[in-house]
Amino acid sequence: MVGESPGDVSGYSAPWFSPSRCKTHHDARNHPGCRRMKSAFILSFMRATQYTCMLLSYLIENKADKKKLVMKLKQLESSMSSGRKMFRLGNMVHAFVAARRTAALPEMVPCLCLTASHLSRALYFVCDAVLWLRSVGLQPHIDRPKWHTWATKCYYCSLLMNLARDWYEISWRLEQAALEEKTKEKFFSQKDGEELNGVKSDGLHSFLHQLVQVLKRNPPLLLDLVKNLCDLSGPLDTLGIYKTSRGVIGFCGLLSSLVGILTLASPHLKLKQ
Amino acid sequence: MEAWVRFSAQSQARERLLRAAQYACTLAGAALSRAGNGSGGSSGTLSRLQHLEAHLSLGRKLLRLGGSAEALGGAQRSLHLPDPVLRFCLTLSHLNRALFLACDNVLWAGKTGILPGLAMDKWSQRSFRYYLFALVVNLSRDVYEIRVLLERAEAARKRGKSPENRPQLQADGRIQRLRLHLQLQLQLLLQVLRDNPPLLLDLLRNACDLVIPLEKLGLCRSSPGIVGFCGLTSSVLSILTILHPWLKLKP
Repeated sequence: MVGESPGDVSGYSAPWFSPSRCKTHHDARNHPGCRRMKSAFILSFMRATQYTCMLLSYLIENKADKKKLVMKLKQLESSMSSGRKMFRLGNMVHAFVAARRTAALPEMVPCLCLTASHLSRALYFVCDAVLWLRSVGLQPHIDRPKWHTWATKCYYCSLLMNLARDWYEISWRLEQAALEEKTKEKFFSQKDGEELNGVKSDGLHSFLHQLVQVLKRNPPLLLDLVKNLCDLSGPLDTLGIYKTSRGVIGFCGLLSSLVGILTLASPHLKLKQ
Repeated sequence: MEAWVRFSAQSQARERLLRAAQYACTLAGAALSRAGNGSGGSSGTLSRLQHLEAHLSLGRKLLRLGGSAEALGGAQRSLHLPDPVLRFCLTLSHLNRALFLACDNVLWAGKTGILPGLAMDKWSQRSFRYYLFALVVNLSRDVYEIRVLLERAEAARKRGKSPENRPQLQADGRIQRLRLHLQLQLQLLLQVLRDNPPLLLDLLRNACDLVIPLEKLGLCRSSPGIVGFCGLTSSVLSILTILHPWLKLKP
């Protein structure tokens, strides 16, 4: 589910906002589709900036003469983070609407996975809004670490559901590819035994080869998988499941933000629900 | 819920909502300080409101990063308008807005600590000056549109006017004639504004917005309550034009 990280607008496949002219709709620049994508682009750009600052500050923090620059990068990072929290107030409704839409999907596995993912994301946005209230000083008595942990758990659950859906998409395509392979072999091969034995002996190799082929033929699926895997680094570290460094989290966050921006710029690269 | 999703998915809509919230905080803070008169119970709420207002203001500044480029694009597009007065007014308005947003971006950098040695007051005054110029030009455009529509309405009224009314005007005294003339002009103005809701909304919005830079630059004495009320009103009117795009004054 590309472009579905917290803060992004769910489910709109309108084109890239163009300052001069809407390239896809070929009319005035400011029609509703483009205005909606501008919102998603702004959030993605802020996210990319936040993680770039995280990565850069990690890379230069040990240098003695760069202390001021590190401080500025951290301030910019924190400013982007709080700006994103404020800008995505109300996104819980977006997530509920998306969950209602995916609950009507015909296939069971994507229906369950995507609906669960959207509902988890909605809960994440609720926790995020509570944390915003605390950061702004409206509710100073809120237990920040508790709500932060809950928000991270909801986000983690949403990512796992996205990955489950990605795995479902990959597995039925692998099955389809294996079936096509068998059909071709039966059709073309007159000899039996030897060639089939040769295929069976490098099972892992063949599996990886098939996997790479499937991902190469389905760029939206590949991008969605990369995005979800990159997004995992943050919650895995926060929840203590797999500790990494700020540099790794920054790099993965930046990569996933760039993938998000790419799918906004080229909607055909977005994995359809 | 779908209506909220469609509305809030637009970045301008969210920015207007944040603006409305910011000025609602200003208004609420002014009302509280008048009602509480510095009593202990309300000072905690007052400081929370002020903190929230500052937070919303900074957040809006962040969302406006890069807005100068958009305003310059708007200025470039308005250079192709056929009407010379509109062309001049809109281009100038966009240019002033671009300069206002550029100063606003610098202020954001200063407030977040990226440019720590920045003279905040100087840049703040500069940005409000450009904002004021942009609003004055917008109001000039509104006055021009009203004048054109008044002339058309006047011409239509004269065409439809029966001849027997004219001798009656000549018979009246000078002051009474003037009073009648003013009354007719006012009626015509109200009719023109009633028949053109986009123009009326734009005029009201610019008039409300004018209070803000006038107060910040010290050109007009008003209270935070009035600034809050006017800011909130103009934000609500903006939200109306987003909900109903036909209410937006074109071009």
